[in-house]
Amino acid sequence: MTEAELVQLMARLGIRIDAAQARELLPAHELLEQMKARVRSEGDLYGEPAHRFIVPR
Amino acid sequence: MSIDAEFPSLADAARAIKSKQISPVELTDHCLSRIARDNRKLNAFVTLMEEAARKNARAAERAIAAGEWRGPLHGIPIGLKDVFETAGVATTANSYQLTGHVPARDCAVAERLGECGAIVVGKLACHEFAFGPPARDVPHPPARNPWDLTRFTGGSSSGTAAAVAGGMIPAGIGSDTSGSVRSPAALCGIAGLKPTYDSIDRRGVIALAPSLDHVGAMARTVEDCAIIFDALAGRPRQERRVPDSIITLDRNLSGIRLGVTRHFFAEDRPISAAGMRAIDAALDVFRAAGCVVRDVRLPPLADWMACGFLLLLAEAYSLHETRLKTCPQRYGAGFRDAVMLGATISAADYLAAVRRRAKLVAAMNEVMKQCDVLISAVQPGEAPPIDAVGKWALFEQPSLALPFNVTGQPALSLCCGFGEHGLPLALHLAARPFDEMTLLRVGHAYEIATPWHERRPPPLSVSLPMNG
Repeated sequence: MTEAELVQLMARLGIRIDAAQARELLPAHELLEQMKARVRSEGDLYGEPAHRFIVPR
Repeated sequence: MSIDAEFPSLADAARAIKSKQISPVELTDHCLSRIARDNRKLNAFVTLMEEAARKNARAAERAIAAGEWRGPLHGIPIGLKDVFETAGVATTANSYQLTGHVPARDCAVAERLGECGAIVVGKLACHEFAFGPPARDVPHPPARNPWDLTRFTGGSSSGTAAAVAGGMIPAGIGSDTSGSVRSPAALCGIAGLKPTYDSIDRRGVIALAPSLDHVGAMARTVEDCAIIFDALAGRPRQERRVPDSIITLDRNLSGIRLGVTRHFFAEDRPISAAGMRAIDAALDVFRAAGCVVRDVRLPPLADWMACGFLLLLAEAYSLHETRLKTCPQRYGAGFRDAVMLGATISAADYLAAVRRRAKLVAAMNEVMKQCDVLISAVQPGEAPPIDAVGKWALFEQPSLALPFNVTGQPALSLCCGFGEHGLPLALHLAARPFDEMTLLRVGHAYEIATPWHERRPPPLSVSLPMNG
C-alpha cells in the first residue's frame, strides 16, 4: 500500500490523515494486515460461537 | 517493624498495624513524605489525595484502637492508576481528552478498598488510556524506573510500578489489557498479579478493550498481591467475614506440575541470555521444592499476538471512534495513531479473531490438563533506556504477556534475578482460571526460597525536569 492509498482508505473510514502521518502509519498498518491474515488463514465454516464466555466457570 | 523502614511490605505493615507497633497515621505520613521527596524524580503520582488520606488514616487509627480491625488492608496506604474513577478527584487516563473529568462516584475497586479500610493516597501515572508508548505529548510525563531513572518502567501501569518499587507506597492497583500490570512489575522488580478475567469488578475503570481488560495488584511481594486479591475479588463485603489474620499461603509445592512454555521465550520471542539463565535457575528452585517440571507447547506466540492485538485495537477503536474523528488533536500521537488503525479492522476480521480466540483457549485448556502452573518470561530482558522505546514497539514484537489476556486465566510476574546492568528480571507464572491460590502459592514459595524480592533500588540521586 502507498501513502496516498492509506490516506484514501482512512478518509473512506471517516478519518483524516495527511501524507506525513500516512508515512508514519504504513509500517504498523502492514504489521496489522499480517495479523489479519494470520487469524483468517484457516477459513473453515465450523467456528466456535463467537460470543461464548472466554473463561469456563 | 520500625516506621523508619524504607520499604515495608504490605504484609509486614499490616502485621505491625494489627499489633499496634505502628499506626495508620504514622504509616500514611511516612508514605506522603516519601512521595513529597521522590515524586519529582519518579513522576509516579499525578494527583495526591493528601487531605483525604490523612483523614481516613485517623479514622482507621481510631477504629483499630477500638478493636475494630477490618483486615490486612486496614490503614494501608495504596495508590490507584489514573484510569480508576474516584469520586470528587480528577481521573484523566493521562489524556487531554479527559481534562476536567471529575467523577461523581468511586469505581468498584475504590469502594471495596474503602470498605476494607485502605487509605487511597493518590492517583498514579499511566500511559494514555492505558496503551501505547511512553509519551511526552500527554498531560503527565512518563514515570521513571527507580532502579535507573533513564530506563523505561514498562507500561501502562507505569506510575504504580514506580511508586511501589520506589518505596512510596506498599502496594497499588493497575489494569492489564496486554501485560500492563505484569510488564511494569517485571521491569521495576516487584510482583504483579493479573487475576482471572472479571474476578475483580471493573465498574468505573476507564476501559481500553473490555474483553481483555483486567484489574490487577502490584506490590513488593506475592504475599502482598494475595492480600489485595483476597480483599478485592469475589463476594461483596457484607457476605465476607473479617479475616482473623493475614492470609497464609501454603509453601509446600510437592507434586505441583509445572509446564514450561520454552518456545515462547526461546524461539518465538527470544529473551536475553541473563533472562534465560534466571528462568533455568528458577526451575531448579522449583525442582528442589518437589515440583515436576516439563516443557509444554502451545500455538506460537505470533498467533496469540495476532488474535489479541486485533481484539484490542478493534475494541479500543470502537470506544474512541467519535473522539478520533472529531478531536484527534486532544490525543497524544502514540495512542492516537495506534488506535486509529483499528478503523481498518472489519467486522469479519474481528469475528475471525474471536473465533481464533476460542481455539487458542481450547489449546490452552488441553495444556492445562497436564500441568498446574505454566512458566515463561514477561519481558525479553532488563528495562531498556526510555528513549529507546519506539512508537510502534507494541506492534513489532509478539507480547509475552498477551496470551493470558486472550484466555483470561490468572498470571503473575515476579522478580527472578538481575541482569548485566543490575536491573530486574522476571518470571511469568500462569494457572487455570479461578485458581489464583495455586498460582500465588507457587510464587510465594519461590520468593521464600530466593533473595531477589529483598533487593531494593539504589537511593535516587538525579532530579529530572518536570517535563522529563
